[in-house]
Amino acid sequence: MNSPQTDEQRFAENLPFYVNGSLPTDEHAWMAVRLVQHPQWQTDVDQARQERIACQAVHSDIAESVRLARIRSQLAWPDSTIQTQAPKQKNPRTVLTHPWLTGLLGMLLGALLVAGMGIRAPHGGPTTNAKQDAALRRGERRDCPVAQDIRISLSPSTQWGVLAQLLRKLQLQLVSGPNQDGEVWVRIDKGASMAETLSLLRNSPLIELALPASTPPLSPPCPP
Amino acid sequence: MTELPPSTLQHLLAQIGQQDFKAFERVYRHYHDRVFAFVLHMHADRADGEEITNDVFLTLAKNPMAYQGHARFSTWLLGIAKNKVFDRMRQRGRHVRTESVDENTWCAMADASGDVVTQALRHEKSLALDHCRDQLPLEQKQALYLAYYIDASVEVIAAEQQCPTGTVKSRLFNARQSMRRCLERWQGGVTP
Repeated sequence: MNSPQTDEQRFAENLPFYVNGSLPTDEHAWMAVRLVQHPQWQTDVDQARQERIACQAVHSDIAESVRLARIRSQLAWPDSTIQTQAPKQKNPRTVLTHPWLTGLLGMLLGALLVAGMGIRAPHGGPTTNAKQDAALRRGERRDCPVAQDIRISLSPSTQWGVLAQLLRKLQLQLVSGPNQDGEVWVRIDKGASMAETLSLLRNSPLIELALPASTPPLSPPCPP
Repeated sequence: MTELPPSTLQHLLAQIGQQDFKAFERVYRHYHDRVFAFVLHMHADRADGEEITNDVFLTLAKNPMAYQGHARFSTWLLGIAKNKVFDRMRQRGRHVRTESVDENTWCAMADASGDVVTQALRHEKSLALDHCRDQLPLEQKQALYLAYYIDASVEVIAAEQQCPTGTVKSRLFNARQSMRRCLERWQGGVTP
């Protein structure tokens, strides 16, 4: 028969594994019996449980996005790293099956249609539309934000400074936001590819959602 | 506290080798908290802990294929972390204690009381625990981390520390006794 001292020692040595649930069944049962026999040992169990909880409550005080941005800058991997993660070029027929691209094309066609109607039946004065009509006939691109803006939903942990860096890197202009839902509207640089920009944004951990936006809030109205 | 599946991990490591930051992020997110908690257990200074953890993942990013798959990936990462903790402590001129020490040099003997410990945990839990844990020998800190953070069994800890299970039990017993005495001293207003 074990002496009380031996039992106490065995109990104490088993305790960390009793509270973390890794003790074999027979030892666990032995511990339970000893706890009934020595209710004062419950204090030790409670202490061990508190130690375990405190041990698992350790977290960094620095936001993950900040930590990751720091490592990224330290690594100084080429920017092409982001581009290599973009989906590979697919054949045009496959690309057109993407709902967002279909929507984008729809918006562009709509914009062209509206512009065309403006040429056929201008509702503004002849002097105000004359230059625009001439420009359209010359094939010049109208500087209309339709389909060139992107609505972005930010990840909750995104830091503004890190986002600003991303916008600069992708040459995106902030149009509006952030609103209370963490959304911002940005405008892509003239000549930049909407599809590529969307792909880059969607690959960023800072961003939960990036969609072409036809009506950015507070943006200047598109000329008729 | 699960590991990434081996095939997924191998794929991600290969991607990291090609400087794919998205793959790196995935590994980072999965293992960061584990590494950070380990580093803090081994070395109480939070600022140092952030730096060391950052260095661990930089090491991973720069040479992901150094992981040969001979051990669990988390074990490999924690091995890197442990070495970096040693390096940092040496840089700071701190003596690296790896085994038993004369506890009386930092913690006076006292009659253990669970109530006192509970009060200490309640009032200055984080500070006191960090301080007292930092006084422990490294092997005891590591055993505490494995038992309480990973919820590892005595056999797993013995394998990690390459020692008999009896040694693990003794380490944990001594660690808890030392922590208790230290917390009592802390609660009594004396910096151990």
